[in-house]
Amino acid sequence: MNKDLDKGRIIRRLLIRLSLVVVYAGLVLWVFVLGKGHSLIIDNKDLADGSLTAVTEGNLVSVDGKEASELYPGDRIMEPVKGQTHTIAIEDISGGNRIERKITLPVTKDTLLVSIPKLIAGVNPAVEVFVPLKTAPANEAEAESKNEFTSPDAAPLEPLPTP
Amino acid sequence: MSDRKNLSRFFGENAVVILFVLITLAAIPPSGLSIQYIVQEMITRLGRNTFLVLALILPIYAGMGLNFGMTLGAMSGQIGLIMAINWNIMGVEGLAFAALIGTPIAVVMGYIAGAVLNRAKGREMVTGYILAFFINGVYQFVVLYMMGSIFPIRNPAILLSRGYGIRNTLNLQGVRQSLDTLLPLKLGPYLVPIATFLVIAALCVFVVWFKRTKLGQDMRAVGHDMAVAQAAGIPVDRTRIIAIIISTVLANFGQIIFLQNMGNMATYNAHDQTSFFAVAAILVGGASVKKAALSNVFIGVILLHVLFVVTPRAGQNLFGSAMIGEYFRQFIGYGVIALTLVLYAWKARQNSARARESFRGATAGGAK
Repeated sequence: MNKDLDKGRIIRRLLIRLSLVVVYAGLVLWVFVLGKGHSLIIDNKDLADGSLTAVTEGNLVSVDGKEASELYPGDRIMEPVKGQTHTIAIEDISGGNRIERKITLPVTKDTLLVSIPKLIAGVNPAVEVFVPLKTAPANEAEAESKNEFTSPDAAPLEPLPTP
Repeated sequence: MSDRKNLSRFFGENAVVILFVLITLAAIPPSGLSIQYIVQEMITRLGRNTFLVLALILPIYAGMGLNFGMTLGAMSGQIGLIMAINWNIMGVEGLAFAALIGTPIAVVMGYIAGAVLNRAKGREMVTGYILAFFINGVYQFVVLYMMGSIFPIRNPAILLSRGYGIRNTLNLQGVRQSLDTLLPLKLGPYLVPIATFLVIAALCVFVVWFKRTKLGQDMRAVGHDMAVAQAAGIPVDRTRIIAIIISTVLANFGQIIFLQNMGNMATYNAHDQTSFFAVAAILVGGASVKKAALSNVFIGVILLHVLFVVTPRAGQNLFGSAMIGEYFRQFIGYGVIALTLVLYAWKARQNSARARESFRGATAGGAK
């Protein structure tokens, strides 16, 4: 009888602890999603296939109601943002036309490219993952310092004079 | 006669505070700094440091002295911040993420520290100090060798050029002053970080509430006399471990608040002097190894940091070198800890001599 009681208590305690761990993990995940930062590269270039072109007079672009930036054809700016859903407002510099588009960013990706011509045309998806160009280092020996504790541009260590 | 005795007792009990007030007042005029500048600096530094100093109260309450092992909590907070930067979590959420990552590590560290300190009863302070050095070695190993090799790091900007190990200095751009600027209040010429002060106020309320709980009363009993507490059925070792765990977790939060205000983090030595300055502050505020109150924390942070602000400039103006002030800063920090410990030992000896004398007097009287 007593053993059964103890067993029940142990199971209940275990369940409570387990649920606390789950709640804690959920809290970490929630904070992660809420605070996840992204670098938005706002790109005002013509599309490679020539199907869409940037507005020649340029645009005023603002993200989440922040101060607008002037973007002329071929321009790119980087905007750090927090969270996954954002509003981008695009306005003709010449005045008049103003559109607002909502974009949703994938939570695990850090740097994303937003195409202004695509946003204006309402093409989906207007957001893609930014892949930086990979360039080979000029010289392997120069690029990597032998002493791993110093920064690459630190002066090389002089050999000690032999007695 | 009695007045003179009271006065000498007052000076004896508040020697450190009085000394500090005098030095600070003497250093302000030669520094040439305006009162407005000093007050703004104090507001900023109160927000930055108070949480860390508050982390010291519960171990003192539990009779474990000044918890030099709070460095362990500071290291946990730093690991949390590294993870927040690694995953690019920004703003207050970044701080919450760092705190949530750092808390389980701080709990484990606190448990280890508490268990070690239970095996070194009566020598907790020096044991905590040395334990911090040991855990610092483990921290360096994890951060310098395991991060990027065993623990995946996805942000190459924080890695050393060799591909593993975290860089010496991290830019906390994403979380920089995010708590301080959450609820800013302009009071005349002063900018007050209300959110930071609300967090500190919440901790003060927690400390006051905690002292009234059963566990808080147990801690008080353990701090007063371990043997009596044990005889009364209080689990002394467990209570002491809980005090250290709470202190370590609070130090974890405190270090995160401290670093978000600074805006960057020296990965390998930001935690080195955390306990040293926190201990110096609470002692300057009039606390002792056995007794500390919330007021000691605030008085201490203000006094120590006014001195920290004015002495380099006073040194520059008086001797032509700011290094004199910088030296003075270090000297004062260590000096105040040494002075308080000496005063405490001296008072303890005096009290026991007085107790012996009165016991002899009583037995002699009884023999008559």
